[in-house]
Amino acid sequence: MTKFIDLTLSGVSTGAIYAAVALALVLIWRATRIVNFAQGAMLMFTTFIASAVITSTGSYWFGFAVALLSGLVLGAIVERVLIRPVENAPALNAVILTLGLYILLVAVAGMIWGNQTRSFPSAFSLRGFEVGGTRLLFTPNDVFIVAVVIAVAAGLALLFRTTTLGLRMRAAAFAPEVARLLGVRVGRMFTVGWALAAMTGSLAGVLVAPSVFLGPNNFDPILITGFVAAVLGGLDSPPGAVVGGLLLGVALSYVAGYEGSALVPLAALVILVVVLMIRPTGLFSATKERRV
Amino acid sequence: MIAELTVEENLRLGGLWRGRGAAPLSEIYELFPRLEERRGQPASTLSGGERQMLSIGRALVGRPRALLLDEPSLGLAPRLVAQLMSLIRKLADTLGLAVLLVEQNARSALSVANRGVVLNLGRVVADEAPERLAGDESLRHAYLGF
Repeated sequence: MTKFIDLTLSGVSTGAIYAAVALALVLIWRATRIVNFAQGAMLMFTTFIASAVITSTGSYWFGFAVALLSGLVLGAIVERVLIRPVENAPALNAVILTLGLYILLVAVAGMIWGNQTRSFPSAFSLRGFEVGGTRLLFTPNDVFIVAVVIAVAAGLALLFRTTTLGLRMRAAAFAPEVARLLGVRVGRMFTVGWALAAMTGSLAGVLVAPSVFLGPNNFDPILITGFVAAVLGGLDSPPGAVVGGLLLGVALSYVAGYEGSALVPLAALVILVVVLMIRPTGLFSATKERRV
Repeated sequence: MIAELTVEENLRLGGLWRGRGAAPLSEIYELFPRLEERRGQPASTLSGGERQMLSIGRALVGRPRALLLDEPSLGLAPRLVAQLMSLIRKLADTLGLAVLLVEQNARSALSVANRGVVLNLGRVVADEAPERLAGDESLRHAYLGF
């Protein structure tokens, strides 16, 4: 029973990180219909920046804030400089661009910070809670991870649902031509969307770095599981991305705990294939009716 | 209208460019009570007639001086077409709007217009008061379909 509780709670914590990556992918997909294959590299790069700041200032929270801010800036720059010129080109152009950006960021990170893996501090203690004389694997840092991801997801939901900026962003994402005719600066809304998505990805980076360690290629698996979570929840659904991430985290935790961690990548791909076969639009996608 | 947004969100969108000069939504709901009933529903769930009301309502939020309508009766049942044309006339009269109505349903359009212009292949073939257009049998048969 303790093992089941341990696996469930740690699955929720890992799932929260998958949810953050999935949310970043979904935000960009909804806005610009692009799968950002550079998402993992972008969050890696901003986590390296955070590490440098933490090392030089001694302040974790300052580094945390810098990671989020640099994610905002990086996302805005990528959209404006790389993605905007190809927004009317075939979709393959943007895919190739994001793959090229991935290669570029990994190479530059290696040149600046080296290719050796290094540790990254956690926000809170990694010592598990003690309940009734039993020490769980669930830690204060895990509580922080879940809380901050839910807070960010809730904050984004409030932004989109209750603010004029959010209304403009959704209009630009759903119907850019109509939105333009109504005076919405669609290009600017896409830039804001990419910035927020990259910030969410950067959050995932600093949260996962203590466990996967920091290296130019260490975050690739996170992108894959984040993508699976996004497909599971529905690429068009931000709430689906969060729920998909949490469900995937728990499922993979059970696989790791009961069958072995070597099976986790396979399990993630099996889940992806099953979802694509049974409900390809994801668990939370809205059914689109067709007029006949 | 944007199908994924609610009725109210679509209306709000129409007034963003106007800022503080936009009409309050209560005015639009007064003109279109059906929209108020459905304010929280996605626009995709509206009927054809309600969607046209929403499109016109969204345009009115911006307090325009002129309304350009491109075949608003397309796809609507005849009863709804009559209601829509009557509504357009009422808007023009009560709000002092200039309305440019492009319609293939000439009979309905002429019933509410102050002036009618008939175009054929981009050229003006008639520019008259609607009674005279409707009264010209050869013109009606050749261009207006009734």
